[in-house]
Amino acid sequence: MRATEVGSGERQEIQSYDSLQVASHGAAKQVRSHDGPGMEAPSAAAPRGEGQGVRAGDWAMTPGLSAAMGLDSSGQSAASAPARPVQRKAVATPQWATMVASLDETSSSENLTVRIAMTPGGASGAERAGADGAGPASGQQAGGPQAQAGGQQGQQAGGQQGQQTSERAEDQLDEPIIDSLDTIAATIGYSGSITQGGITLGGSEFGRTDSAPALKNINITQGSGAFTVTATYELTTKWDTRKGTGPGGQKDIPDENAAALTKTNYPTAVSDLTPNMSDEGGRPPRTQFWAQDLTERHEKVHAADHQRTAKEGLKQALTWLTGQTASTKTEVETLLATLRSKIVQYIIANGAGSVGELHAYGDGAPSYKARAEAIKKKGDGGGYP
Amino acid sequence: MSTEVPVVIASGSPPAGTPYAAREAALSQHLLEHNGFAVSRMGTLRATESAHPALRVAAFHLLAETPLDEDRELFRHALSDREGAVRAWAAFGLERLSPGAGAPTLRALAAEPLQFAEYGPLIAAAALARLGDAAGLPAIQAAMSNTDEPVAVVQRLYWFAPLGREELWPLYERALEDARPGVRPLALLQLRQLAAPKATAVLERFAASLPADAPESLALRELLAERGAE
Repeated sequence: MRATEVGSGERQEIQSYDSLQVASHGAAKQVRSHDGPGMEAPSAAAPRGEGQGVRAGDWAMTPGLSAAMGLDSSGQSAASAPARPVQRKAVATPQWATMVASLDETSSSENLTVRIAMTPGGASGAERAGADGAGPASGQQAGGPQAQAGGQQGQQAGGQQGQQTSERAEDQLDEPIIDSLDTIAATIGYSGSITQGGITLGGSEFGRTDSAPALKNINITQGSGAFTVTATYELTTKWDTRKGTGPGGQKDIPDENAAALTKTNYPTAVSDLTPNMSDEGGRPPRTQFWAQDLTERHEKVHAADHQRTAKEGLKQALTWLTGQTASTKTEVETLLATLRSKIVQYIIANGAGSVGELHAYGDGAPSYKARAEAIKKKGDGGGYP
Repeated sequence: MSTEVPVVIASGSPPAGTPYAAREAALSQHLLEHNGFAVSRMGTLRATESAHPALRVAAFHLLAETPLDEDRELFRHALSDREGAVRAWAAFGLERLSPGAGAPTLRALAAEPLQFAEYGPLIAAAALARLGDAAGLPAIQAAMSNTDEPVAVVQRLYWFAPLGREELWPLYERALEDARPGVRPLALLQLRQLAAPKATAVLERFAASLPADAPESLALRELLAERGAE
């Protein structure tokens, strides 16, 4: 009987609030352009039964899917397009906005005061463009010219009326609507855990490692020129393996002295446990024999990779986040949604997906090779009954 | 506060013997399966509507690998997805269905600068290569020199091999020298499956640099001996 390194259900805290922080830079007071830098609204599509606790096959056809397939609810000829995530409205920056922004570059005042001689006609055109812009295409195309037209009208009119209005401009015109694009100072701690158990293995799986991310304890506050975000990024990693017998009835070979080995079957055991270096970096064939302890080691490599890449991803995501700006708390929340997605995709790309198996099988290859060689040595020496 | 979309990040192996050309799709399928989507075309279609970008990326990847005429509209819609990787796969699928319909999007994406955890440009560059267009190779070359995510770049080198471009092989040489996790094994996996003489030459140089008792060393020598005998 062997002792596993981590007992079933044992929770191993490997990282505890290892705080990662990227300091914000100075506040950037700007005129809001209404099509913020890289900002996009969260998907309008609600999660549809995906995620943990949802079993394969446990689904229903959504209206969007039906439409995409050209079917209605009865499975026949629907014409409507599938629902797609809604894009954030994009509206061109009004002309006055550019003017104000240029003033801002030289302003050292926190409370920006803008004094521009502008006729009511010009102002209204610009404001209308800023307020009424529609979706991504129409907003850009319609809003831009509209704003320009307004500005041009204003300038042209100003040429005629400017002398009359300039003296009273400060009093006459409302201050343009100015939103602050505040920077973001984020302190997001990392909390990772690795637990054996809690995995339902598939029919052909020797073992598996799953991780579930979550951003918790989120607190967003708006200060002078900056949002401050605090949160905790959690990655809960679970792994498990078969116990004793492999998915296809394979016998466990913990070492060369395993009782299951005989003088007739040991060559197969040697072959089964010899890493195939042309397959996933060293996957052993394991047709009749397997090694639970080396499979456990394999899953632990996965678990460590998930945690490592999550932490790396969080660090890079924080750098990304502090390069963003936001006008509202809602926009900060949207940025946090993007941050979560980026970290997940980073983990998949660098720790779980394409290279995860290569790393884990490569890590185990010397151990598998050593075990296969030990069995061969004992078997060739007549050591098995 | 926006609701977090749950996702399970699942490690899993492609079936034994899966060629590299099908490996990434197998991993996408694995991801969807462990997030509750049936291993079927219907399951994949349903995943295209996921609120989680990573799952949409996997779904459109699978659809683009075996595009059907009835996917055309879905691909067109996805060209405006906010996730660049989704747009790249959709454009690839669309281009395969209707030559000329997706290539402009792919070229535009491949020219975009690389950003953290945004793989659209790399997917687009590789997709162009799969279509016989080397337009994405400069982006790949630049990315090899200037990225914190070499795995994502090396993952795509394979698709450039059929184009017969000499610039590819130095990229593999560099990948084999890269000690960052996963980079070398990924390059080796591809080189093992590339029959080009240049690939064999790269492997020979690498094998000569390995300790004789390394597991990889013996296997490589066997592989190279087989190639030499052919």
